[in-house]
Amino acid sequence: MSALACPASGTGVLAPDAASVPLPDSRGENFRKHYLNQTPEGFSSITLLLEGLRCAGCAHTVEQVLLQQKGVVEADLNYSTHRTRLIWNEREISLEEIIQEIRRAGYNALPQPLVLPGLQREEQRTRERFPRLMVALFGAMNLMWIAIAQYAGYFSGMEQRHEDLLNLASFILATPVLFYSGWLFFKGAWRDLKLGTLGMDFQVALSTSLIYAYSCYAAVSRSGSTYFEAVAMFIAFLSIGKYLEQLGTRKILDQGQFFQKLMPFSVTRVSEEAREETLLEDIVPGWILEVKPGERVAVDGEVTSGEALVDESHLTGEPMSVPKHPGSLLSSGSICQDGVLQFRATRSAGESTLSRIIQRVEDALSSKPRVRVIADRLARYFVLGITLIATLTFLWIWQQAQSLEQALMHAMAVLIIACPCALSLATPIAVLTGLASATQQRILFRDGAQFETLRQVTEVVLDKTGTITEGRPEVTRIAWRGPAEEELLHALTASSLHPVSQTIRRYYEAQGGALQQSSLAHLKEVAGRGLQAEWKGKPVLGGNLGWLQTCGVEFSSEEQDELKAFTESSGSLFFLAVDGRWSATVEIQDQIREGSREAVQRLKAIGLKVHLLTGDHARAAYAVAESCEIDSKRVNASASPEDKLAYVQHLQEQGHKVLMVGDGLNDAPALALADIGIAMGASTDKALEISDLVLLGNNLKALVEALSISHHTFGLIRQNMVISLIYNLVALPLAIWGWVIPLVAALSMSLSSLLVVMNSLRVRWMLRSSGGA
Amino acid sequence: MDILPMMLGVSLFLGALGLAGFLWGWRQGLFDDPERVRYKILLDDEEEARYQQMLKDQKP
Repeated sequence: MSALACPASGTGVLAPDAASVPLPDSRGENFRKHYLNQTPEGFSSITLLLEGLRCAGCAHTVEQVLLQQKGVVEADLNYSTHRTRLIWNEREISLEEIIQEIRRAGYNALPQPLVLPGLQREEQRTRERFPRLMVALFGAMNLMWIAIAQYAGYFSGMEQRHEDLLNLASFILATPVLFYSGWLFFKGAWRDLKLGTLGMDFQVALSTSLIYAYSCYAAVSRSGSTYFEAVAMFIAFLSIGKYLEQLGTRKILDQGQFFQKLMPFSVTRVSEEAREETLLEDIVPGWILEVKPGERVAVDGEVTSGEALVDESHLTGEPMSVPKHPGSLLSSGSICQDGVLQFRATRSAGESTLSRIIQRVEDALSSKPRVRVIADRLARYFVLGITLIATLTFLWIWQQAQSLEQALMHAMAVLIIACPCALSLATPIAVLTGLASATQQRILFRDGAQFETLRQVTEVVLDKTGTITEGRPEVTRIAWRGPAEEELLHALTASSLHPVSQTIRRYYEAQGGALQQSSLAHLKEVAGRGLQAEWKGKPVLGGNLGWLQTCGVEFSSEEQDELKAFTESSGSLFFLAVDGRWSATVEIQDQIREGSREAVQRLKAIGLKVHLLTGDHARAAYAVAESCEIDSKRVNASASPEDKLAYVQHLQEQGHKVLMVGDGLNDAPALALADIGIAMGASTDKALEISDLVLLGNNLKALVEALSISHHTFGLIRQNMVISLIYNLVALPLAIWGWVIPLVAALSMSLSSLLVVMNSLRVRWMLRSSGGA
Repeated sequence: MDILPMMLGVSLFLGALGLAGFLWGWRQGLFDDPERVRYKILLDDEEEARYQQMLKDQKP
């Protein structure tokens, strides 16, 4: 990339084409609904994404351009995200005029749809929680130094008035912490009670309000010591945990928003009469749309005319662009790099690939994985048990020591020290962190439940076509027996719709071969068999070996030997004969995808048995199995969808946990039956719909990654449970026998929760160190 | 010896003031754009003033 002198000149570097893209009518009803907001003062507001900003100088220029427009009220350009929230008076200037001005300066502005509902909800939640967390931290920190003074006084003696003063200060600090910062726990406890369940919130609310009430009593009656600092510490530490959990959720949603950013804002519709700009939301399947260089494909579709390289890296992560020609499929969000493509929309915007990805990310977040459901249920019993133990402790000590204060002290210590945080706090964080890492690797989980199942998998069943291989046959060899008559072969296959002919035609087109149709006469295609025509007065034949033999082509014994070498290869063969003599052979093979071999090796290395299942013929299947080193005993070729289903069922009956990866409609039943069904990103709809995981990158390497993520995530969850169990087993008896005062209890509980939360956050670290390469 | 309550009161008040200031800034979006802060010093005050003037002129 060349160094562009944007800071010096202050002008943008956008391709001139962008400025010619017309804008849709900002007064249209649909546009207003999806993009515009009204401020209470009667202005309009919209979020614009600025394109072409290279530096702070650019950002400043654009900001100035915006602010100099008459009618623009506010334009706060965020230098980090390149977004601006523009507020302007529509009676003075239209959005189109503003964007024209930006373009004149050499940049472009894309109106952004109003944010994802999920993200909006999370932002709202952060706005609500952050100040509460800060108040809790402030209160807890200040209470700590007051507590130090109190302990010093406890040992060396302190005048009553000083003690009263410190108690008063503690009370002032602890009250907002409990009622403002701790409000969420009270709310949660109340919600739980209404639902008839008990959660961690209940335990927190009960113990903090008990200690608070007792401390108030102790301060007023000047008997015993106060424990306001325990209240604050408890709430502050738990708020930190909750806040961390929320950051995890946001991180995933941001990923989802990353996908949404890829959505173009307007599209060119081509009809017989004219071409017009329409809104993304208005697109109806069947319309012919156009993409120009640099533009993004709005909805999924099929190319009708034009040729271009298309960048699909948002889905595949592959930097290499993919050539597209009439008949190729386009998925929304890809960027057209050169040339103009016209395509027929096959889906509306809401159903296109990108939208479905976004939907999936949101679904994964909103559904509660089983491990969380179990954790929540366990937490309920835990809290119930602790409340019971605390009550019994209270009654027992009261009866034993005849001291209400002492009994209360022991019971409170029990309530505080017992910690269900490994269940209620650490598990969700671990699941979220795992999901976030997976999304980053372009692996989409249906929800977090697969973490658990993935770990138990023993058998991996792979589909061949489209999973291990590219799923797109390519010409691998053309062997000419005489002079190479490329033009003849091209012309002969160009007119046929047979897949083999199409592959050969594509091969020539990719090489840029020009076609002179005139050289052929009397072209005829015999369906399913082959082609015949006349070329320079000589009869020519093209098709499989059987077709040539039927038409009377004879092979000498020398030629027979050569033939044998060909027929032993695993690909499909196309023969060409000129004037009754065999003249060329074309070999067509479905190439093994880069990374498949390595992925199979790694799957085997971690002790999984790899199976190959394909509808293709045995020769092709064994060739692929051999090059990927899949045990030939575990290869099942010529399998119908029912056979695939039966194969998976058979494995399951033997007590195995089966993971199946596939991409086609024919894999769908088996994918559904398998314990984990994984679809490749380029799969058919049906496969995507029923799968538990999607590998957007279309690469089996991601499967290894998914296994490693779930392994680490689930491992951490289990580790947390063990840590928590040991902690509670040690701490509870101490509390019952009154060997810990509430402050120490609060400290140790907080530290144990922080420990498990930190442990959960390690998922990302572990993945980074265990070879993200 | 009445210095103690005063000290305590003043220090807590100052701390609370700091907290309030921080939260106010947060709500105003002061921490939303870390990039901009680095370049703020390079921007001209005149433009800032013109911007403020413009805000005043823009009553609907």
